[in-house]
Amino acid sequence: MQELTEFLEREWVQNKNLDPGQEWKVLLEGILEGIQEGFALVDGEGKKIFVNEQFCRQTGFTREELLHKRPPFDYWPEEERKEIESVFRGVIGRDGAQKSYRFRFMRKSGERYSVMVTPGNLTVNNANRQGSFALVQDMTDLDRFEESMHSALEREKELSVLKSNLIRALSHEFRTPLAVILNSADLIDQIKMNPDSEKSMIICTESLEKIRTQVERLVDILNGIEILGMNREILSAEVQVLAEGDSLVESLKEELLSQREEAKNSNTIPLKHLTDEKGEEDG
Amino acid sequence: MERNTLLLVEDSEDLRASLSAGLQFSGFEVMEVCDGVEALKLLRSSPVEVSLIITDLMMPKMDGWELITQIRKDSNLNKIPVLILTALTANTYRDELMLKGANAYLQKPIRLITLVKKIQTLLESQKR
Repeated sequence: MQELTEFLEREWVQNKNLDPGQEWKVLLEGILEGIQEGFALVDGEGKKIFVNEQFCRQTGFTREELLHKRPPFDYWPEEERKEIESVFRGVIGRDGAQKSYRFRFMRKSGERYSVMVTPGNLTVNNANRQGSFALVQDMTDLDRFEESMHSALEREKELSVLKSNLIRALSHEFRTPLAVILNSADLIDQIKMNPDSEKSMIICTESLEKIRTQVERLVDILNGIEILGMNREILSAEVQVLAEGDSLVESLKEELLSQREEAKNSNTIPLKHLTDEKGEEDG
Repeated sequence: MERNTLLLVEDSEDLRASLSAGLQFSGFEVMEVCDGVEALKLLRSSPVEVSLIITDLMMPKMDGWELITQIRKDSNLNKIPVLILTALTANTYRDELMLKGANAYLQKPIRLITLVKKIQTLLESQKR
């Protein structure tokens, strides 16, 4: 930036007349067309006297549409105009401003896009400011990248929550049947010590039945988990958040049945996600 | 000897039945409901005095957290000890539940004898 400023100041001295068509303009164009960023130069009055091709491409305006204009410029969107203008006035009102600003500019089509503007002032021989320029970097790609990174991070966080929820739900689904089994066994123990009534025998029979039922339930859960375990992507997939009160066993059973059906039809191991409502399969 | 009445709030029918039978064998009267809404309804309408509430946390309609909140807000019920019996990891929620007004926290599965001892301890400390 410093080198660019010095270069421009040198050119300014050698080419005092800023009229387009002069040699300085050819030289500037040669250099400034080669840079990646948009470049715009204004005179001491704030009138646009040079823009490079990249700047025209960014904004969608032709050079003719941009040159000789004074602020507010057409690419300043209405909603940001006040803020941009205030920075613009601040920059051309003082020397040595070396700071970058994030704005949203507007293309000719009306589309807003994000830019990083780095303004600078030109002073010649320590005299008063002769003009100002700005490097304008189109941040659209960077914004998209940041957005995708943000989405990826959000997804990672969501996935982490989903994993925790899945583990919590699994723990819950195991602990409840285990509690039934343990309590039923304890109950049988108690009855064994007082086996005197018919009711005791009924409770004992019921408890044994409960133990068998709960073991089957646990086996169902394990079968479901094993099938899901075949899907190598299960831990990176969109696993359904099991709402409190939902039955994991039922979800797993449904999933198991649907995957068995698909496997039967396709003779392949299905890789369908728990929440794949569209029924799409992952390769 | 007078038998204490316990209110068991548990959405798993099998667990509710086996716990209820075990607690009755251990000398308690047991009333059972399947969620917080039913529990509040019963507590506010029953002529029988409930000595202690055993409640699950994850339940439909009204969960255990909300049930405790409602019980502690109700001047007629707020002295009843509440014992949490849940499948959720104990350490994660214990402090939060104690702050809400729970008196004890046990994680499933648990031996009947441990549960009974805990109930007796709570009932005794309630008398003092």
